[in-house]
Amino acid sequence: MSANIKSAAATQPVPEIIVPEVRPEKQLLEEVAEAVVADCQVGPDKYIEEVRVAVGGE
Amino acid sequence: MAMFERLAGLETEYALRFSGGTADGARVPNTTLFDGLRNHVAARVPLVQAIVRENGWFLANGGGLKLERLPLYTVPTAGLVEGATPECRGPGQLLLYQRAQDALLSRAAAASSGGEALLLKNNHDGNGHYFGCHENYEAAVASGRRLLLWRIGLGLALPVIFLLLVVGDLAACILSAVPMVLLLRRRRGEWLWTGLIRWSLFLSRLPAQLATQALLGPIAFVELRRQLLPFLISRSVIAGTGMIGADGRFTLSPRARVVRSVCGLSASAWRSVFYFCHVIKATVEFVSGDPAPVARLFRERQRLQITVGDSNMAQFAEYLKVGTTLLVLDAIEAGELAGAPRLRRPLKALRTICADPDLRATVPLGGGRRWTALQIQRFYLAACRRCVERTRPDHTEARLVLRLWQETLDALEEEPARLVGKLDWVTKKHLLDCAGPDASPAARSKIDLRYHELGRDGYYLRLEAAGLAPTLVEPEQVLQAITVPPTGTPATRRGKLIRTHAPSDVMRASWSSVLLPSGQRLSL
Repeated sequence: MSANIKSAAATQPVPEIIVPEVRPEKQLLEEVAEAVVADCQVGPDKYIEEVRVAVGGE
Repeated sequence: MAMFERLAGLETEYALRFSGGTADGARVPNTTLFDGLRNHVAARVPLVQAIVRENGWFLANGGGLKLERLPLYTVPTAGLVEGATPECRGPGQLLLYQRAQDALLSRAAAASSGGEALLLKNNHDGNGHYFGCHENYEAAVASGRRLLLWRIGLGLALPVIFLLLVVGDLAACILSAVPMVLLLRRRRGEWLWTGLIRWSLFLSRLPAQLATQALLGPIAFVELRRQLLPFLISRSVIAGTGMIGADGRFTLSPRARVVRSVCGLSASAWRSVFYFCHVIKATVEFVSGDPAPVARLFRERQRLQITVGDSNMAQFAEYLKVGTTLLVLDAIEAGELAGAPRLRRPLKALRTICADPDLRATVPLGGGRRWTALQIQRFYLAACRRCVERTRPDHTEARLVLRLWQETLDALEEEPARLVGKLDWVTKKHLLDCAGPDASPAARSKIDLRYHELGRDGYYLRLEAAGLAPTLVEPEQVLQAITVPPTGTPATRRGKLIRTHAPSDVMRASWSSVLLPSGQRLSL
């Protein structure tokens, strides 16, 4: 166990939540969406198989 | 109780995506992947084993970690990584610890597997399996004579529940042993094996569950449940993560597809809106040597568990989900929601609301009225605003949640596209719409799943990295919350004791107590 893990601050103060004004820039959003659409066509069946989950319970 | 002062926590089950294999081409079991993940976590954060569970751990920030899987079920893909935040107060603190957990576990999964294992923060896979995101809120179980009745009933029922559990679990072992031998752990028979184990466990625990239900139904959280239910049913319009079903239809919430009752004790076979399995778990823990959870059941204020929510990727949606629920609970306890509407068929209403992304569907209420989900949400928003104005008009965070809630409902009504990057279901639907109707079902399903991948290629995180989705907590604060417990909750003491004594083979922890290396037990 490293020393810096043990010597961290004692407790975490309550964070102040600030919601930035994010207005999706249309062209940038289109670019990301296009990249997603291109990626989703690549080996989708393999991807689905890789995230196969056997029943876990909750 | 003052505003945003109740304890709250989130439990999240993460799916493991595994893209590698062993030398002979076999899949590495999730148990092995989990061990690697845990070792990486331990190198970063002190942790100790749970008092009761074999594969459960508690971290120095007060949170929990375990591999959640059904007993007896040993195929490689069995088991979900479950992280539980420490007990927090207020939506900002809870969001911070949820994000710290997401960051810690996703990095540990990737690092421990050379990038072959990644976590998905979602509620279903592409093969019809569902899992959960549980919300826990501290609330009064009852008051006055009803509380006395609760305590007497609990004292009488617990021994009976325990006996029924022992007999039931023995029966489940016998029932499950047969298919285990017959199917020889072959993938071909996975669905049969899964079904048999799920249902044998469900049926064998049914008597204990019915006994617990008989006690809980008419006594525990009765008024609170009645006033909270319409809010939770309609909350999917802001907190749902969206899903493409096998039929190709879009629904606002994957959990809405599998919730079968309002109250329940089974998470895998008969899912519910309110979940009371902790009563049964406390009984088991009592016998396993930890009496504190049972003692907690006799308190006036205790845990209310909600299991109708989804695992959010969007920080905005997660903050709003928890913030609005905390406000509604505060308003209920302040007497502001005695006139809350009653849904005539709550589960049907949930499915109706979630099946309509246009948000125009109406659901029947008592008195012959029909309201949309947005109308129900606006009713609760107005009640919470009155409550804040009356009790804590100067409360900054309550006012922030009210403002965001109002703006979100307005946007859903006027122009939902404004919420891309803020609400998960809106964002996911936008990506699916971009893919168009010609995209194959598998490609659409991949969008549905990879949206939730906790890695740089995950679709939501791509939007976030591009500055298209707002982040509400600072990365430095998230980093600190990975190792440091929150202030003023049971997690504070738990975390400090773990930091002092870990690593330790003998120290143990639970949500209610800590067992020190000296053998001394401390209640939290």
